[in-house]
Amino acid sequence: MNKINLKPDLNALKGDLLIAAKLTLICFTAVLLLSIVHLLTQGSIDKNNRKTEDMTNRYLIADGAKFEKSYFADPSVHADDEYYFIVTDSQNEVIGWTVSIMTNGYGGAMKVMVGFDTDLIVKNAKLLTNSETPGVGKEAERDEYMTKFIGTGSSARPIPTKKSMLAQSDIDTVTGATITFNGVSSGIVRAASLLKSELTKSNVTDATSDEQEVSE
Amino acid sequence: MSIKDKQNKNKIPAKTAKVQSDGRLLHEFTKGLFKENPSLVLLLGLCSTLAVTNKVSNAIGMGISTTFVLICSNCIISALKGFIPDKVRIPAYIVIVASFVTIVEMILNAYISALAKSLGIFIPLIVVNCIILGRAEAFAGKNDVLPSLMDALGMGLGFTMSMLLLAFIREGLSSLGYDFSDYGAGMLSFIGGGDTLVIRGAEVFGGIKILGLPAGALFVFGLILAAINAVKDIIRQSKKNKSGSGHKAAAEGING
Repeated sequence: MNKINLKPDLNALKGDLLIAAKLTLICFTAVLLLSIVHLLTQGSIDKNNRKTEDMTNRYLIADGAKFEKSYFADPSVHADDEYYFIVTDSQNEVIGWTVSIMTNGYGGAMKVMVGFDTDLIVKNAKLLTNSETPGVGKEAERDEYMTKFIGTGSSARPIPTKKSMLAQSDIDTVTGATITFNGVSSGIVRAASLLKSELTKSNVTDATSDEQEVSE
Repeated sequence: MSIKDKQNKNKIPAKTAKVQSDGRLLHEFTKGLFKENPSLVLLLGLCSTLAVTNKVSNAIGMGISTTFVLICSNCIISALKGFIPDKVRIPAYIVIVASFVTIVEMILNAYISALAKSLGIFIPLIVVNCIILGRAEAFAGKNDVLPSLMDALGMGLGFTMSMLLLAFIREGLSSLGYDFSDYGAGMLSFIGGGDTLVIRGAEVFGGIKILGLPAGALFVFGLILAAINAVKDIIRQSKKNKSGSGHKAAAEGING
């Protein structure tokens, strides 16, 4: 009767462990190198991102004189990527808001910035960071792509979330890149809903503090 | 003759060895430029070649980025060839190549962000560019650092040259000029500003727009390959004729 050898082959195990250790060392060195380059370049990358954001703000609401950055009170929102700007004119009157929101497209995470007027109607939108396919989903970066969302957001004209809600000429711009369209539209809808709840909360807080002042 | 004398006789003189080594290094460098050009002869890395050559500025950026990654990865892989276990060499190569590509991406995002935006997804895709993995597997993993460096330089320059050729034709004919705004420069137009040739108020010619599109890339690339094959045929034919006339002359000489 053949006996099953349960004793492990120590030499083979040692060889495999050595291979794993070598590969780990290569990965560790790569991470170290990347961390150093990241430290050296992060400042410039952040500066470029801020510049892009500033330009986008001015593109979304051209009348804005001042864009003040604020964060959503909702704890579920990732404050590093999702926030909003209060847009005021030269007389310091609030004329709208721009919201930076993260959403998902065909190539993964996408950053969309949306401008709203005081009635929470979409003034304009812009697709920023994304990894969409060039020539297909990447076309959403074009200014003309966002015209289908401009003026939407009211109950009479809701933000389009399906192809069937678009005009024929707009359907043509979306065909072949439906996932990108779904990502952009859901991002805009989420931006509108976050901004609405944020403004409702701040209105409630303002009203409460006014009542307290009166009672005092 | 003693054994020592025999050994001394077989030994290549230091000067000859240096000349041979220099000749080999030169060969490793020049082969990538013409004889084994990665894009036009080996037909490798065509996805990025065809995709980014709509603009000369893209071709320059992509060419420099790929050459940098190729040089760094070839040198490191060659230096570590005794250390990297054969069983896991491909994952190890990919880690090394991906690290250098990420470094390039971070540098471009930090200092030439317009170019990084223009090249987009094609920068991360250098990781799987078959020229880089091909050179790592076929050359750097088997040779010393210096020949690997020369091989990477030659292949990188060959790749950049072929992309530039394609981009010069495509952008020149489709936009009637070259746009260098990604580098902070302006538009170099053939027709003194604008992208349409206007004579007495009438738009005469606006460029061959299809050449700026993916279909145009394939068309121009096909024409370049056809031209190269035609030149090769002419050279081969002239060599054949020469050797034929040489044989004939030799035969006549013998007969005479």
